Amino acid sequence: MKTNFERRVLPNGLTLLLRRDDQTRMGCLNLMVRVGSRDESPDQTGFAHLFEHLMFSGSKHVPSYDQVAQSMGAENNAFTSNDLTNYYLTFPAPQLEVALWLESDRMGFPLIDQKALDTQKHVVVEEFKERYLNQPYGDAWLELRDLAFQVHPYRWATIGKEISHIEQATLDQVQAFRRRFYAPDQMILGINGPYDLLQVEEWVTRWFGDLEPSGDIRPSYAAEPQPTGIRRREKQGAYPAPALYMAFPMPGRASEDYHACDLITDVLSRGQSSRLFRGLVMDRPMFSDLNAYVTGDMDPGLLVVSGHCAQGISIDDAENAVWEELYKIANHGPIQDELNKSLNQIEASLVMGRTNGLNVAMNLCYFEYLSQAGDLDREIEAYRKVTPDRVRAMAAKLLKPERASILRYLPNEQDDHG
Amino acid sequence: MANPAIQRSRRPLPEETATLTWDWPQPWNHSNSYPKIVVLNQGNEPLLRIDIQWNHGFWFEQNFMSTRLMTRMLSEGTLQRNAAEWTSEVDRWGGQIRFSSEAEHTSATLLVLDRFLPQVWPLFLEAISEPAFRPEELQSIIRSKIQQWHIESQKLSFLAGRQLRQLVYPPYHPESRLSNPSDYEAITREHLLEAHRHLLSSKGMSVSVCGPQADKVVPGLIRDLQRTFPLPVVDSTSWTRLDLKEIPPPSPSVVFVPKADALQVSLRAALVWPPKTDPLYHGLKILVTVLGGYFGSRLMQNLREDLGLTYGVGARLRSYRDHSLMTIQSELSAGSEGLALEQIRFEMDRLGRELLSEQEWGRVRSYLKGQLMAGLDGSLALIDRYWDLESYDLGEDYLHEYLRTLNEISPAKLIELAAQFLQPDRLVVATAGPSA
Repeated sequence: MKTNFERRVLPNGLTLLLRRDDQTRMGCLNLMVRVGSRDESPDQTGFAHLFEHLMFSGSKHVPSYDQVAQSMGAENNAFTSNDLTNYYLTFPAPQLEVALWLESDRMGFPLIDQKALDTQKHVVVEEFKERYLNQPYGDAWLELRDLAFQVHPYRWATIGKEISHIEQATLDQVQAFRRRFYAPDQMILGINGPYDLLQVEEWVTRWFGDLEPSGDIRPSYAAEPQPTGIRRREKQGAYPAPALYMAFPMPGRASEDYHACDLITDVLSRGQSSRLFRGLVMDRPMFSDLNAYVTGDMDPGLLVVSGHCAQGISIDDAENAVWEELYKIANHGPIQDELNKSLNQIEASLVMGRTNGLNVAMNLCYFEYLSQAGDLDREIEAYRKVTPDRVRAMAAKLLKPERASILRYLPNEQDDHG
Repeated sequence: MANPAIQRSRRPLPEETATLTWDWPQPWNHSNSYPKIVVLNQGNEPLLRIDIQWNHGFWFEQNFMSTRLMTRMLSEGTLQRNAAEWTSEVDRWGGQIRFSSEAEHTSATLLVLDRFLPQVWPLFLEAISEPAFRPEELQSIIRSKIQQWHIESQKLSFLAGRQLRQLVYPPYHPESRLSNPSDYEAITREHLLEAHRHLLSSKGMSVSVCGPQADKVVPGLIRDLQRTFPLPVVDSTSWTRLDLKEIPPPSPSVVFVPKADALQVSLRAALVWPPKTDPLYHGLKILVTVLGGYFGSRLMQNLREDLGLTYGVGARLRSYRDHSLMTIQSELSAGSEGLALEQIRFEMDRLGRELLSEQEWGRVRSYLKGQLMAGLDGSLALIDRYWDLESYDLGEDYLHEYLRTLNEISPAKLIELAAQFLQPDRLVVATAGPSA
């Protein structure tokens, strides 16, 4: 698999990645800003995400971002993670220069006033309630992050640690945040479409070239100390079933060990033949659903196993059953056949991902942020280098009780359908 | 500092106008014309996608929930292989297989790397034609479904959505029937076999094959399909099909479902509209977009951007063969549902009274053309569009007609449609949230 792309860096530090795709009639623009919730202060959490909302409030020369985007036939949106904020736009291919004009104006000259801030604070508070507070187990990630991290800013979620942080955000704080992080040297621009590099470079220089770099160099984030004992938290309430979340610290996305960690979770729960699904959901039904996954964070993150207990199964028995599976992979590892299965699934997913131009542009930006865009094409090789013994060794190192953070939801007796 | 040489206030002009053309899956002519098969020989990546669709779905089942459980159980083992063996083989070759049961059709989709087709295609056919429906696996699935039901039933959107269906559809309509744990518990292996016999037969089956190598593999696929599904196995029309054309217009109403510990209110509202095959449908689709179908819609602007009552509000059209359902949905701050509903009705009424400005209409038209273009870009998107239409016995002409409507319909015609179809006093509304 080879993604042919070109890379340029403007004098102001903006990185441009262009993948020419002559098969499509659509253009895709992806703009990744190197700022996420890990860059927030502990008493002002949720800022990166709130700011993402504010970036749709118009800019100096384009009062309504959405109206222009829609008038060019574009679909657009954005998301924020712990590590980054990502804006994207797909549009009929001839509209690329309009898209660059539109995007550069809000990145360089956003108009953020008190009214826009007040409105978006309300909107984000409703999002907080809708996604995290107003559904069963919705607060799991607020709780789990707080339990698993003690010093690193991954200890709060992108939505923020608490609603009051969003409600108390001031215009001055928001403007200071913009000046520091929303500058071309903090941005990676990915473009996919039927475009000529020289033309794209000229347009990007025209519209982004006069934006001022911030020169901000991020301090390294506080390293999380090695856990020294099992951490537990239980929540009792009107939950429909007991639920279990087990988190183990693991290396960051750029680490050499990342792929082995990811393969641990693939062997455990990728596909219907995986160990956890087949063993603990179907053959010995301890859970109604059970998954293992990695958070894939840039700094050391988490390997997580989570699920809801099956009817009539106690949370203790369910947790013990998971530990048995974790001990198995830590002691015996996977067999080569299991790894081959995961590798073919990963390859199929990567190939499918390449059919979508926006996905390609986004991945190029992400790998550039991690280290270099070309690593995108080396992903499958990185996975193929991992041996069963390496997976076993990583599992043995990571999946120990003294490294675990365990969050359990316990239904009130009258609510328990188990 | 902005570069004064760049006139940022002036929007650049696109170099050329986007042209909207597309390829379309073509019928594959073969000796006895069975099964009906279309081919799209397109794509850059070494992937093959095969879809099989049957023209019956869960609305026509004799035992409630049997169709959905039957399709779920197709990936739980065959007469030749138990579930662990079958899933392990599919996963080994990186195949992605999905079975789904919708109201009016049932489908199976295979996505696989070209080089693994010989390994995965027989497994795909085996699951469809020789499912085992072993009781032990069925019980595991039922337990899991019941647990998921209990979790879902705690969500406000679930409660409001169920209430809305009961308000919209008469009691004899299959859509008015709401699932409960006892419905899952009542399902037996015999029910699954019966649903399988009636739904997944050769009758009413059609197929699409898509990928850069599609034409090379189709002859072999046809041979296998004819051998696996000889004509006719059973006449699926023996399942009674309700005449759904005669749905009485639902009575306008607002019903509230209380949930003690809720922090928000979920709002669901609906109107019953003509089906996708109706000549007015294109205009109605445009109308729904203006009302709540995109970021800049009237409802998003009013409820989210101006009033800050919600994270999101949307309106959309759900299509069935005999009608369509226009729905509005939002999760709102508690206590604001009265104001929100007032504003929803206001915006519906306004569309029937005031002409869209040239500016707004131009924006919506461009947005919808962009959406159409994106929906026809790439082989996987094209196949999705093909099935969107084939399910209603519509073809490529529908897209040309839609494009023509987008180019020609006037704001005056839209106001006329809104006055006829967006009547605020006909709205059926269900809300769920904390008691006052």
